[in-house]
Amino acid sequence: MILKLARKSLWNRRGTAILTLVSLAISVALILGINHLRHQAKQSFTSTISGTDLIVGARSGPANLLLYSVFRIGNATNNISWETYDVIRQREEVDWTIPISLGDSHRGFRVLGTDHNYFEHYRYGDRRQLVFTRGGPFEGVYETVLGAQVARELRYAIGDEIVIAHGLGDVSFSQHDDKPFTVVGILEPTGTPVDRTVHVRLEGIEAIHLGWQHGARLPGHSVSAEEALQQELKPEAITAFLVGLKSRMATFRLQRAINEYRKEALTAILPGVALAELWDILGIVENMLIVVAFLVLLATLVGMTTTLLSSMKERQRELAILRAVGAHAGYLFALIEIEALLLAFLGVVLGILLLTVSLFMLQPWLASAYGLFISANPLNGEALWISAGVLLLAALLSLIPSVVAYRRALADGLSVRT
Amino acid sequence: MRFDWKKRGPGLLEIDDFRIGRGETLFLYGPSGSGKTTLLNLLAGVLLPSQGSVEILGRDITRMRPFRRDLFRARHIGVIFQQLNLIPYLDVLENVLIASHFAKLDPESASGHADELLKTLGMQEHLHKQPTALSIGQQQRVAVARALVTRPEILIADEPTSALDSDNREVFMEHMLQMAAENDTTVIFVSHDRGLQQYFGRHHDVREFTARGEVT
Repeated sequence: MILKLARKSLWNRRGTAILTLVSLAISVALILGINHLRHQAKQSFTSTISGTDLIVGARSGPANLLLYSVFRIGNATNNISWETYDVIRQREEVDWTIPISLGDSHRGFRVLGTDHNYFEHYRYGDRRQLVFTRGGPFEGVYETVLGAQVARELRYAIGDEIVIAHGLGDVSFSQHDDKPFTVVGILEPTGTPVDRTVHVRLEGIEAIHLGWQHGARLPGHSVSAEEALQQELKPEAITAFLVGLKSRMATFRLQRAINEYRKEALTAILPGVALAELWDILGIVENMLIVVAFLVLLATLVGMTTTLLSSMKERQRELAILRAVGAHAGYLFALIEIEALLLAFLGVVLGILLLTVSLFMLQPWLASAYGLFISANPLNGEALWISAGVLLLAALLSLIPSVVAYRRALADGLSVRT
Repeated sequence: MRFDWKKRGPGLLEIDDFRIGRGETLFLYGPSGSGKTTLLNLLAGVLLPSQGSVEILGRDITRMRPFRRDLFRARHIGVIFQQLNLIPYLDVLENVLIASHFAKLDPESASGHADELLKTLGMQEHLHKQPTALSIGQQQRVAVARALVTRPEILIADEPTSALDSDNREVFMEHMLQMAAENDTTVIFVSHDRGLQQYFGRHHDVREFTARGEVT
């Protein structure tokens, strides 16, 4: 009965109730959303690469090296010469290496030059290997393997020919259109930047840049695709490389050796450590966001309390009637509390709904624009605790109007103060 | 049945001994501000006297625990206000049944009784209307049904006719008193309109109870 009264009473004041509900839903969605993004981003982040012991690039900050080599964000400050790469990969403690050559793109997706080791040794998430949905690894110079998202978004199938653009960016004016690549393989989705990468052989990268210098075609030096195959396509430099060791014990020794390598200024980072460091930097922002979201929620709940409190005046008659027919003062107290809780509960439910729908709609954009792979389901243990916290806070704050109702019921009796 | 009440407040009401018998109809009059509503609040057990006791049906309600007293009111006392007697978000039938809910009566028989009362009052076609869709006269009739659905021993009415025109007033008074009489319910009726006193067996000026005859 009390629930029915609370429900009908709220419906009777649906104008303000709905507004309160909307603001509650938004702030609940905000706080749960930020919390969800935080977890998802961290998970997406830390599962991007695994099984790699060291990432080596030209000397730069660990964060920068991590971002361009793994996340395909930003650019390398410098390249590594092939000689240096050769020296390091032939050291006895090294089990395998994966070379990475970046700099070109295909319709907004980065092109990564590498070799067979990529498909054999690259691991992500829980040490998972790359799997082909269709086709297989590249063999020829003008063959390419696409990440799942590239194939999906651009609707490519095995056998399609694609043209690589020089440089980065969605629209590039210099296209390597004389040397198209044939799609020979498409990878399974991984939820990592691999999905958004166009993979080619290092030799392919070399081939398309023959006759180019400083990012532009040299006039009169154009080399046809067939002619290029006749030339030696040994790369002179790569952007970075991943290293797997025979024994992890050697990690720090090799890292030091690389960092102190005399012929070239290099940086070697431990992916796990670098990921954690980068995450710490983001953590400050993340904590601030949580605090802001909490304050928004608090403001909303205070707003709800204010609304309930100001409605007490117009509801004096209603409360006097309830008293007259025998309602205990505590009943009126409970009625107001239940109304507040009902509002808060609906607010939480609506908020979760709002969040789920927005996540669902934002998912593709977050993935393509920020490389964030977010699940659309925001419900986890922590979200439930936060929701419970919202209800508790609502119950606490609405003690104020409830106590007002209780005391008025006792003091005013059946008369209505005007 | 008898009422005993004594109250020694700091100034408003002072009653040495006053009794009302079962089935009596009592008319209390006095100008506004003379303490009529306070008296009704005391009778209903919503307010407590600062001294003395209020005894209803042989039980001292001032000594009951608050929860008991509220239940006692729900079961034994019906209340009709001046106007706006109904909860705006409940329909007519729900407004009547809310009284039986607080009295913890069996919902089925209460609902039957409510139907009966509303039918007698000519409201059977309006059972599921919202109060705002009713005229003031109709609203007051629903209030009578609500006050009597618990078959209370006492009916307290606080100027229930003040918002009605004279035709409606007559109909209302006759309905109310007749239905109360059928149940042998004591009626305590408060008004400043002495034109209504003809309907009642006993008349009292509230100022009789006002401390030291302040108002006179």
